[in-house]
Amino acid sequence: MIAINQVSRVYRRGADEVHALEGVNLQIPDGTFAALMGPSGSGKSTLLNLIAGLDQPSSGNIIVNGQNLSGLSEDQLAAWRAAHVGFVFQFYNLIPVLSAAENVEVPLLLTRLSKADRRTHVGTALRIVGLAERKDHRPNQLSGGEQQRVAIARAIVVDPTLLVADEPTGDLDAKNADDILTLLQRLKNEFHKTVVMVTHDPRAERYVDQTFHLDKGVLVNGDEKIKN
Amino acid sequence: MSTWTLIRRNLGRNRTRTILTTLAVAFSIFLVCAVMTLPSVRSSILERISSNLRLVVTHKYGVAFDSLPLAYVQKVRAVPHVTGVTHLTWFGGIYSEAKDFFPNYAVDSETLGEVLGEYQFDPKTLDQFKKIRNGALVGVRTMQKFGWKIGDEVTLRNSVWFNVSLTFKIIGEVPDVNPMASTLFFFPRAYFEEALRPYENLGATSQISMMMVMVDKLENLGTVMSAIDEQFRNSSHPTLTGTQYEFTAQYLSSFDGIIHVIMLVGFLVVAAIILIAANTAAMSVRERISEVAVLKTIGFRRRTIFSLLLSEALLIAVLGGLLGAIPAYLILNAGKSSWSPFLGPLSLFLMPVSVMIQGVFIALFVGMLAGVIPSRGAARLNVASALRQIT
Repeated sequence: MIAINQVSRVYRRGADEVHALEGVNLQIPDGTFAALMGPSGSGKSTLLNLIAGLDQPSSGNIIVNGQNLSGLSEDQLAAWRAAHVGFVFQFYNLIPVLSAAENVEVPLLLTRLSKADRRTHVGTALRIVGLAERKDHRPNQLSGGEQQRVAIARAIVVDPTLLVADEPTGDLDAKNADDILTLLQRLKNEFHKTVVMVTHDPRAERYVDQTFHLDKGVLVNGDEKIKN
Repeated sequence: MSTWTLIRRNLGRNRTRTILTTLAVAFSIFLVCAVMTLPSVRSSILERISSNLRLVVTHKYGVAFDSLPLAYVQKVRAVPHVTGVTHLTWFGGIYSEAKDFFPNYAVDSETLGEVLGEYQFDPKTLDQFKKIRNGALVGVRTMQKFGWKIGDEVTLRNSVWFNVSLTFKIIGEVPDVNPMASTLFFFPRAYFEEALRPYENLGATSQISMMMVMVDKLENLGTVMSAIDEQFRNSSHPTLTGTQYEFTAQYLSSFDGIIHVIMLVGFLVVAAIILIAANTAAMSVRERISEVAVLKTIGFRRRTIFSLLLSEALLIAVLGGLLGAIPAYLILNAGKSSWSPFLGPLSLFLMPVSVMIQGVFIALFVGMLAGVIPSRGAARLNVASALRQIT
């Protein structure tokens, strides 16, 4: 369960204050595929970063699977993220000098797994996303859709309970976008991940269980729409 | 895959930049090692050419100021605790060009071998030296430099003595006991006096440049030094007697000023290289802000990211350091080898291993200084702000 309780986030830009989020309350049950939607500047990515433990709220608290993220130090948040969160970016952000398998292995460098175990985890992750045969290819040898699938493999290789994705289909064509959304849905259904996604893609509504709309930092539909 | 793989691959990301930066560090460390060898050359010369029991007697105001009367030799021989005296007279002749100069002296052939005992002249060669009027003993380095062989005739022109020129027959070598010895050229005093007979009335044949005096024991050095100088204190040619170590140290100290300037230039070069390497490190980090943000998102901590980025800078620095220090050692130690005639003045530079090791540590220091600020900046990056830039 992800519980956001009266969360606000204020940024200071010199003498000005930017209220990115104001008094947001929402809950996302375990094993849910949720979308955060809204116009640019509505606070979607800010909320996603708070859920993922990449930022701290200015007020309120965030509890993810029983862990209160508010007040954790930077190192504590980093350790929590390493164990519990997988992140998928809009522009994939793979390391260009590493192969697909090596990119997927990067999060495992933070674990105590042996080289052989790491290789096993990487193989599993790449098979789940359907790219086992491209493991030795560098990112510049992969298509956009393939790169995003490698990024998803990297996000799931430590078997996190929470997957966060920031515009994962933003840089893909329609076919690849559908493939990615299907994959994320599969990860929720088969592997019981909780998936939280920021998106502008109207197609996403077909795949998600919950949709939250934000505007100017405020949750505009206070009661989430839950798909049965 | 390991963090080492990540470091290596990142260095290969822009090979041209990595290679050029490494070479810049290598060249600067080569220069720094050469510069740092200068003081050790001085110490090495002093250690190797000095005999604790040997004194050098010159004119009180210096060899260049005035000479000493030949008659002083017998008087110094009579001083208690003196076991041997020889004399040398600076000839100052030139073989080919002034820039190829080497020290050449008229010497007392009868006493040379006895007072310069550690040179271990070949006894048969010394015998011939005493008998052959125009015989010459030449240092190994000088022989190799001009391609001379035993039996060759050489002429030294335009000496400091009324521009007199003399032709010699090389009859043997001055043993290669130290860097100075291997450049020397000795010939018999009698030949010198014969050539300068026309100038006898000007005192040319009754002067010497210096004496070398052997003392029986260390504890008598001070006594002998005082006795010699006291004997001639009120004469027209007062003397200054010192150990050979002091004499050589005083001569070498005239180069201290230029050595300090050269060392300053060397270290300014290192400072310039630090700035270049720092700029390269900063550029490399700036280009990879998105990757740093991703690593932090995944859960890499500040200190891990700092270590990864700093390791890249250190690796370039150490590689450059080794590429500079090792060739510097090999080249600057070639003075011991057959390369020495082709190295000219460099052949006196014998770089100790300690300087090579110091060179690598300086390179490490350069890497540390160059890499620490950009690495720290990247490690302290606010993830959320960085993600806003890349999404």
